[in-house]
Amino acid sequence: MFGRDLIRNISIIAHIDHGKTTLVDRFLDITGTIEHRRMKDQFMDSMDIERERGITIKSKPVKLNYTARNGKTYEINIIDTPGHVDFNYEVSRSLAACEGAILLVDASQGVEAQTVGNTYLAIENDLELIPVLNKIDIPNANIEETLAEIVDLIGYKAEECLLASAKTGEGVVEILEAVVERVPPPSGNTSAPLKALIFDAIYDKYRGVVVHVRVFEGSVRAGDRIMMMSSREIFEVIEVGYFLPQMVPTDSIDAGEVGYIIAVIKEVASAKIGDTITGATSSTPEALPGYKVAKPMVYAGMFPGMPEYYEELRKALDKFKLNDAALVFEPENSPALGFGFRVGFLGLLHMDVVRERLEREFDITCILTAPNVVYRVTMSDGTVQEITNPASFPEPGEFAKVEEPFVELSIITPSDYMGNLIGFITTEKRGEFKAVENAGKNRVVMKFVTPLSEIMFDFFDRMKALSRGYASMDYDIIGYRESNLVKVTILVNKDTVDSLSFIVHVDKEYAVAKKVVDKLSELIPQHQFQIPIQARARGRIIARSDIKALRKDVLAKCYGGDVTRKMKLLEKQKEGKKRMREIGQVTIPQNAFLAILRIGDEE
Amino acid sequence: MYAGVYLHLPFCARRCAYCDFCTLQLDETSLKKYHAALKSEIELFSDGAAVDTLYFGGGSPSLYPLDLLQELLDTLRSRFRFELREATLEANPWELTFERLERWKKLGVNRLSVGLQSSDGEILKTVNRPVPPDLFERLEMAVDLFDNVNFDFILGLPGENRKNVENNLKLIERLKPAHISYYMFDSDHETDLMASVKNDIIELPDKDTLEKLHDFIVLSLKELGLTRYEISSWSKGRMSLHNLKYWKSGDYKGFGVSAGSHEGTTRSVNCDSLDQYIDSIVAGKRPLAYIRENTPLEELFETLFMGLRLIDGLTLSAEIFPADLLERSVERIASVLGEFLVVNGYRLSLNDYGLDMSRLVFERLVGIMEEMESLLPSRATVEKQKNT
Ligand SMILES: Nc1nc2c(ncn2[C@@H]2O[C@H](COP(=O)(O)OP(=O)(O)O)[C@@H](O)[C@H]2O)c(=O)[nH]1
Ligand code: SF4
Ligand SMILES: [Mg+2]
Repeated sequence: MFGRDLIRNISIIAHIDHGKTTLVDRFLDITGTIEHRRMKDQFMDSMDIERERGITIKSKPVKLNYTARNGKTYEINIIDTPGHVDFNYEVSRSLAACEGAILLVDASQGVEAQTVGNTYLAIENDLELIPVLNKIDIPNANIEETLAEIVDLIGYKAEECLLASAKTGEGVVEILEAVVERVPPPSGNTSAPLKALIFDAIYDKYRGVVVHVRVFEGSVRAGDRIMMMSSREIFEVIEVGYFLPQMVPTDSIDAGEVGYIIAVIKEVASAKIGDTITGATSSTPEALPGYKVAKPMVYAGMFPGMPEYYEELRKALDKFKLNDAALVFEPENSPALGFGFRVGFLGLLHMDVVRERLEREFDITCILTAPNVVYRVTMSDGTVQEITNPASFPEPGEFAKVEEPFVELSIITPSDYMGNLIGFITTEKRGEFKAVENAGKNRVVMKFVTPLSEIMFDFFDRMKALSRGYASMDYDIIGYRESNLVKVTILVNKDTVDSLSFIVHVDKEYAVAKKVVDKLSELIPQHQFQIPIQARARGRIIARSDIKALRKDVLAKCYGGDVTRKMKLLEKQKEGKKRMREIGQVTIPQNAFLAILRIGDEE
Repeated sequence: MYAGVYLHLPFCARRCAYCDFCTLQLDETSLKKYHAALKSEIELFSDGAAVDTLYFGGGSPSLYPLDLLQELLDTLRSRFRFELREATLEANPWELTFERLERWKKLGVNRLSVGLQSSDGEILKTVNRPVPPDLFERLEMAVDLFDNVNFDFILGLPGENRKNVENNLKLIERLKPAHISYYMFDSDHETDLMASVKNDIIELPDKDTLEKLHDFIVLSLKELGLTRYEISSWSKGRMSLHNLKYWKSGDYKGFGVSAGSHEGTTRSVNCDSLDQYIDSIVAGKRPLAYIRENTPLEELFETLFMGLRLIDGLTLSAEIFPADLLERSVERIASVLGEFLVVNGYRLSLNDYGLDMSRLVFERLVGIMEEMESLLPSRATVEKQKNT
């Protein structure tokens, strides 16, 4: 419909909370894409959980028609990207479909670690960047310093940066003007054979698989036969269209455009993200480069709230996976918790989000065990195993060495807190300090190498506390390195509960074991008898804490006329116990399985 | 068989931090509207039953204007056959003035239930329930003018310790009320207090201390000549006749927001919302949150649920419940809850351990009921069979 000269494909990248979603809301506003009265705040965050938490999880495309000052109307395709490091791979997908990106920085916060990380991703993808300082309406916005940081960390000139407030709308039109002027239109030949990048695929209950594509060459329309280049599977297109941001059908999507394809595709697995789609009859000779598939970084056990619901949980996970290619799972059988799954997640936020969505959208309660990284164990006989479950971690003597994933950690912080953070990371988190550089006026960027497992637990909140909330972090996995690790097993009432096992560095063995048994004795309710909680490592008991017997549990006041209310309340409490498991004679609540995540609570 | 009548008067001067009852800030307009609706409810939905106990609960009935209280009584008298043996009014210490006490008496109130909760000024301030400085004199006056007075106490409010429990007991010793209710603090509800506890603003006393204090209270009240006849009630020969109707699953009819009724085997509860309540009444409809005809199983477990609160327990009557249900239930209960109960045929009561662990016992009782329910053919199938 539009000449290619009039198309712009962009992403918006920024640190979490710097205002991406709000900015897109303003764009929709200005271009009248969504009628104002229908507009909810944060239109782009359409999952309930995204709105509630104020975070973006899945990238979503939207198409705007913007009439610029030069009088021409442009089609601007925007892909809103998530800002959390767990969902970084979503960012790289979006970037691969664009020619430009808005780099949004909160002027009251300054450049943060992920801003830098995402900017490098964009530069690698050859994108034209438009740096924008957002939130200039806030009284303590620090425009000058933030500009200095952009210059230092990202290498832009201050004159290239725009100033805006996504909240008040100030400067937002200038951003759109800059997009039109600075971002190049897509290239690509409409009459060449089809060449389209799959950057997302979702499963829609009513319409089946909806493939999100960026067309690089050729065009696609209903009735076409298309082929997935990696599998050579062929499908017939039923509908193509744009995101406004709701799906609106159109005749064809052409080279340079972003849109969706609905074909007779039964499984999302057939539409691999990063794959190239081409025509079944006239095909493009070469696929697009695509990008790395996200690999799960942490694993946790997931068990149905009650054993009877195993099948339901399996079905829910199956369905869930349709919309979340990053999720992997396989059956697990735990002596303590019975049949369940070992599930791989991108990170802890991803894990949280999956759990919450399973419960909300599929009405399933599940028990989650403490997450762990993937260990690589070289056994005494030289074979190498990937261990995703601490329970199957070998005993000392059975293996030659263990390796765990390490990351390069970047932290940006006001220089005042440098000492605090270095102390914390090097002494408590097994981190190695690598470098520090100035970033703007009073800030520095520090680099460390640490095990991934150390920044998973009890890290973010401590970092924030040690820097009065100012520090931000980003990390990249840099590979496996050898570590001296041991497995700690927990015994509840003298019975081993495999699902409570964890892996820890030998130096921290005693300290962590003690904290965990103490936490467990807080989290497991009192029973009619005393319950010892013990931690065992390398054949010895290394920590113990006892839960006293419950001597009294007297019924409280109950207004006589309404017995139903009291019964309901007791029923509800019993219901709460659905998320508990009877192990031996002890009832263990769900949150106890995550005790290790909470051992830092009191400090 | 006489029935009881309960009137819910939901207005309070302020909200106590531990409160989750249906209560409202006292203001002229809502009071007027509520009063009119309450009178209509009595006029519209009374059945002329013979009534021997009456209970004004709340909220703070002692704040209720005396002329309006008079009107309520007149309305009740015109709709029921009143042969009152007991008429209780719940009162806060602030309203224990000579004038009010006299007027209540004249109206026919013969039992006062005073919401004391603690004799400790600090504790009460923490829970947003300050007491008048001349508390003792007021209580003394109440006990002088009424020979049937109950003091309500809560064990386990923030700041509770041995010293203030001793003071509570001294107060009881000196004033000799006929009845004591000593409740365990209920941390199960979402109240202002629990919100403060969750946010680490206020700390609750530790469990160990409370367990010991509970034992101490049970022992001391006994020494003071008060007999424990229900989990949290003690009396000197004057048990609460109205409450006994609840515990013995008798008939009672509740009026006002959130009030519950039990008539025959029908249980109903009025809605919680004042607006909804008033709207219903204006429309001439019963302001029900729900009403249901109990199945024999439900009736049996409710009877147990209430009756086991009594120290003497209860006897499940073979005249009321189907023989096989009775047999199966008692068998199941005895096997699951045996360690907490004395079971003698169809007579059941809590033993000492059961009294100490009553919350657990009742929770499991609800569990047993659900389990047995799931074994029965569903209600719908039963109805269908009846129809064919
Ligand atoms: N004062 C002010 N607040 C803003 C501005 N832009 C965004 N916000 C607020 O910053 C918070 C995070 O915004 P959001 O768009 O969700 O950020 P995202 O995580 O980058 O998508 C929200 O509370 C917004 O209302 C702005 O220009 N000025
Ligand atoms: S006086 Fe009673 S009903 Fe009123 S707020 Fe206090 S506890 Fe609640
Ligand atoms: Mg967002």
